[in-house]
Amino acid sequence: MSLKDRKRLIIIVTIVILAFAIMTYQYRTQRIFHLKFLSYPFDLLNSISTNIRHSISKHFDVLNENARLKEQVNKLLIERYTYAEIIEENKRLHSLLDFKPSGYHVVAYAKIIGRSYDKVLNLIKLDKGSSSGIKKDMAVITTNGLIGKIYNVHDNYSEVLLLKDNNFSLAVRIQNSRVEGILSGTGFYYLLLNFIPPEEKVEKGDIIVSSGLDGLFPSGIPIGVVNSVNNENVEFFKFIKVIPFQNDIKAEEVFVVTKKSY
Amino acid sequence: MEYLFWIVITIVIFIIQTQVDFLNQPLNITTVLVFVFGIKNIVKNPHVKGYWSGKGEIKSALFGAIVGLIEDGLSNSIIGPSLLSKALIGFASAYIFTEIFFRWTSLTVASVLALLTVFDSIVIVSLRVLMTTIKINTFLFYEMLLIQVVTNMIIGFLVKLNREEIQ
Repeated sequence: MSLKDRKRLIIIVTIVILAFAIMTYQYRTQRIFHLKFLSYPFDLLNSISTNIRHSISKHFDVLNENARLKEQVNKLLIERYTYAEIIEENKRLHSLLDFKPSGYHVVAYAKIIGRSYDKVLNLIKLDKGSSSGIKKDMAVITTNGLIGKIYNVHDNYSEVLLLKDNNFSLAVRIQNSRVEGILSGTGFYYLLLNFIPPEEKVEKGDIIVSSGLDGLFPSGIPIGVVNSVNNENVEFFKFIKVIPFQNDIKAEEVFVVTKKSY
Repeated sequence: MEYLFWIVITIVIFIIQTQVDFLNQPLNITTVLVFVFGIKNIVKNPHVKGYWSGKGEIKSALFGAIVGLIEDGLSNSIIGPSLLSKALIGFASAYIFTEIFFRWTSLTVASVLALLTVFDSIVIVSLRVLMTTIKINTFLFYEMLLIQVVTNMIIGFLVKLNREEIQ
């Protein structure tokens, strides 16, 4: 082996050992080094470039007016969804004369500033963070329904794990029949509704809302609609595909919400 | 001046990578960046004409490690997978250029870039799955990989090599 080859070997071995040492340390101590000094300027640049892109595509004067009106309409629509769910719940619980009101509280209104840098997870970035009251695991919704949950929070930015991601799941119920199950992301355009026994009646077109039983998400958030139900060759649970109401590609503004405290 | 050029290019590449996607899949143009840096920064051996010294490999590996570290930092996940992958890509780019292929064409550039893209994605995803608790959808991973390989090959065909450097 020549001197040059020996040097090459030393370089490769050093790189591999160094990288594995860093990773192993983080894995063992469960401490991930957050390089905030890198992400802040990058998020800022990202935010600026997103704003420039938006500004070019829309007229300046109309933009502000449009955003203000959109926010108002969005708030009203969210209220409408809340009322619809409360009415539904009220009808059901009225007969029992023992009810607890549900709903959710809007923590922040945020804009999507781009896709997150993480290529493995389906994450998007919001222009609001812990300074606006956002905390990890809070639900993120649009006027159409749930889009994801807060995954990482910084002072002025946060990341949302999208509903469609493999690592996402939440407790849900079917709005009319009140059958409860667990909804999981698949990575594809559809979600899977799990743990629904074959004897339960589920039909195409049934609306899925969050049940709040997971302790994370407020109840009554619209999520999607049943697309197909497979009863054949099912032993324990049905195979139900759900199409989410909110297409994450089309979303521009979102609301970060949390359970209402009474 | 040259350092400033690479700093600006790196920032621009990172912004593009976040803002632009192809068929709803993220791009992997940082691999192209490290590769191009590797083949543009080989250092000729002053003593033997037509041969290269190993300094280019060290320089490229270091550049790759910095790009990888930034990538890991921005992804808010474990530090290391991208650092390892990009450093090895930087090293390999200069090594392949000087020791394996002596006649470079657009096709060889595109092919090498495709292989390095596959290597990068496999290393990053494998280490992330191994070292953290995340799950991945294998089918979607292959889909993402295919799109990244295709886009990087297209970019590879557009990479212009200085003939004087090669001969």
